[in-house]
Amino acid sequence: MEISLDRLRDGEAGVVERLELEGPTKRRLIEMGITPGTRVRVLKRAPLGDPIEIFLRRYSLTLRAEDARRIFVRRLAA
Amino acid sequence: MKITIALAGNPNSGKTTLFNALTGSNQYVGNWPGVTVERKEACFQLEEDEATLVDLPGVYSLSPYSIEENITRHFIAQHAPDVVLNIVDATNIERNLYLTLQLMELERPVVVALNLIDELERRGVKVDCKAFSQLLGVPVVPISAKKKLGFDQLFAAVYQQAHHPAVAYPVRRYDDSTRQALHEIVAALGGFSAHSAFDMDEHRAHRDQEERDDDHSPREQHRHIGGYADEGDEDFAPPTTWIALKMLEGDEPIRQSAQLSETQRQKIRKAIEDYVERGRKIHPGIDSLTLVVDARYAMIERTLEEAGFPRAREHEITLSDKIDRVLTHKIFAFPIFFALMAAMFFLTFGPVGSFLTGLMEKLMAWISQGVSAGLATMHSPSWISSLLVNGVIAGVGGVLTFLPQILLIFLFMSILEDSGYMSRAAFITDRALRRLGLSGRSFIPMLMGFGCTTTAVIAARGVENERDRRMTILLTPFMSCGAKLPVYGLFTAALFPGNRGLCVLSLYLLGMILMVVCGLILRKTAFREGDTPFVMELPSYRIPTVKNVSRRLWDRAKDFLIRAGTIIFAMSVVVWFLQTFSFDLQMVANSAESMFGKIGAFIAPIFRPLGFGQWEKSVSLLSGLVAKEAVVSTMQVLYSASSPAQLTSILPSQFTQLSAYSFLVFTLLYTPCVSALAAIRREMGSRKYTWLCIGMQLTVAYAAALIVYQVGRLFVG
Repeated sequence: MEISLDRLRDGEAGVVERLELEGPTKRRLIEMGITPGTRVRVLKRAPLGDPIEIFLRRYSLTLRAEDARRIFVRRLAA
Repeated sequence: MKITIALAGNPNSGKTTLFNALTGSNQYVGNWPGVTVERKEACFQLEEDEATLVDLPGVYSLSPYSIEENITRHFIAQHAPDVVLNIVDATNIERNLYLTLQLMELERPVVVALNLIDELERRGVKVDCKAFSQLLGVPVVPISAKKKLGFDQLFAAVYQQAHHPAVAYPVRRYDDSTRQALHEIVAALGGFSAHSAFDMDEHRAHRDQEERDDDHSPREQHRHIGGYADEGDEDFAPPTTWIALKMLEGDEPIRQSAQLSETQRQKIRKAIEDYVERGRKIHPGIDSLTLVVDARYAMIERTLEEAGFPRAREHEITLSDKIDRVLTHKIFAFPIFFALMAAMFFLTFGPVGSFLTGLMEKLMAWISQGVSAGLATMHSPSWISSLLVNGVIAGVGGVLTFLPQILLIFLFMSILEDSGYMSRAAFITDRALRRLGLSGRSFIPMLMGFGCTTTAVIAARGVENERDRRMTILLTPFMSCGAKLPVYGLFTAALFPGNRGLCVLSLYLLGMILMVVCGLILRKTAFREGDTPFVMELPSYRIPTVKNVSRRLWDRAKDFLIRAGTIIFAMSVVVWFLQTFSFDLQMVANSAESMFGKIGAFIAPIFRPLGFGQWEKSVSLLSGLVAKEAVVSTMQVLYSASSPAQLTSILPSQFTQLSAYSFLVFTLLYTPCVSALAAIRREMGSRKYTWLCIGMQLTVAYAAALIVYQVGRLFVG
């Protein structure tokens, strides 16, 4: 089932399905490696729940929840 | 032979460390033309060659969206450096190599410096750099910028690439579908070259127009080579494959600005459509841009695999993660953060800072006395000693007294930055600040604003996003700076003796509330366009080195001293002139007779609706432009008070409680002092924003004081 990236709990992993983003934000995020088929894992969230730190392609990236809400992933079993 | 080496790399890849390590201390620091992005250059001897190393801004990619990326791409494509030295963080290799591929696509000789190799080896990863070089097609040299390891091999590789350039074509290793599409587009382009396909005259006209405008940013996108050519690049001739790649990425402007025949356009459109169709068989709904990005990442993955990189697919828990469990903890994060900020603030503006500032003041007083005594023995005319002592030494010296505090702030900021905590501060405050159109990085500069606006404006350099940085600079003047405290102190003692603390607190709060309001307004108006993508990284915690910290401090001190010696020197002379001479150029004893006094009298009626329409008050405010504490010293002179205590007893005859509060509100909000304005002008790199700041502060100050006074009168009568 497809869910948005921000719905993954800390420590959960998923595979990127699609990005519902446009323009510079989309470009920046895919260039940072968030392309369909990429495995991502949520590492942690800031105390206010946003931004979110994720692990992908052997590195950690921090992005905002508003962007994570528009990235759709397939949840992987733990 | 003279050779130019461009140093390119991701942010946080150790680029600055490598730059410093390679060049020592003989570096030249300036700005890239038209923008405030720092440009560093240094020369060093490479065998018999004179090498110039140009430090390009840290970027993740070469997309056309940010100033830094434009500078980098532009420098490599157009200035054609002999060698592109690309520093790659070995601990974050996939993402870093993405930039490497884009650099290689521009078809210049590249050398990859694989930094932090020692850290990777400590994690048990062995890299076969020889195999890696062969697969990538460019020399890959393992180094440690911090420990200065591998520099000999790095120099040898750079030398080799400068004298016997070997250009690699990474697209040859992209997947079949991408190569097929590129092949079709290149074929459709035929004997294509940037010069024949793009109208260069139109581009030149555009550039000349831009040169006439003072303000270079935010710039409008040129139509030229799809906006890729800017600022004097009639020589910009990107490789055809690169243009084909851009078209494949779906770069609309480059496709439209190319002068192609209808058949060519159709062939290109067909090639792209086929490409997308092939891609959609694997990923439904994917677009061509994502496919191209994916092609690069797929090539990186394959290369890493073939070079024997282990498939470290999972995040390993490091010491940094453990520290983060406390420092970014849901409950502890904010208390720790505020405690650190309070400590930093207290040390800078509390006892340590004021002690150092006191020393500086004594030094200035001593110089000032020495100079007056010296001039007196030489019987020099009184205007000379007045100019030197009251103008130059008072003005420049007044600003120099800020130096210790500025250095202290930068000491703490450097430590926070180098240790990695600064990114955590941005991480935890980002959400709250975003509501105002700022980002997490803005918090520390804003806080500094309570100390000194000048310091805060310079501190805003830590905000890496250009739009957020400008917003931060425009909003810092709302944080009531330390120099306004003497004014609050005087007025509350004179007119609100029972409620001093409450009165001062209300002013601080008013400033913050208006900052929020103006932030929201700016976000809806001047800064609306900002769809700037935000991503950041939380680098590993590191222990800051004395060398790096002291180097940064020295850079800032030098910067500040140069500014004090030039712009502030000039402003001090001008202000002294206005304060000392009348309009018929006679020296005056009473400043009411001076040009300043006359101007004050002239503008005084403007302040009548605010409750303080007398010339003494407007002249005090005018002198407050030089330094806010001057409002008090000027009043002391103008009301002929021999001591602060006497002034306190005089003020109630000049102000009512209401007009005094209105005066304080105006003081809180009006235009920051010249030192801060000079910093704003410099950091903004634009006169337009400086005027926007002045205009906004004056408007807000006037409106707020007017409301206070007029509404207050309804109640007080």
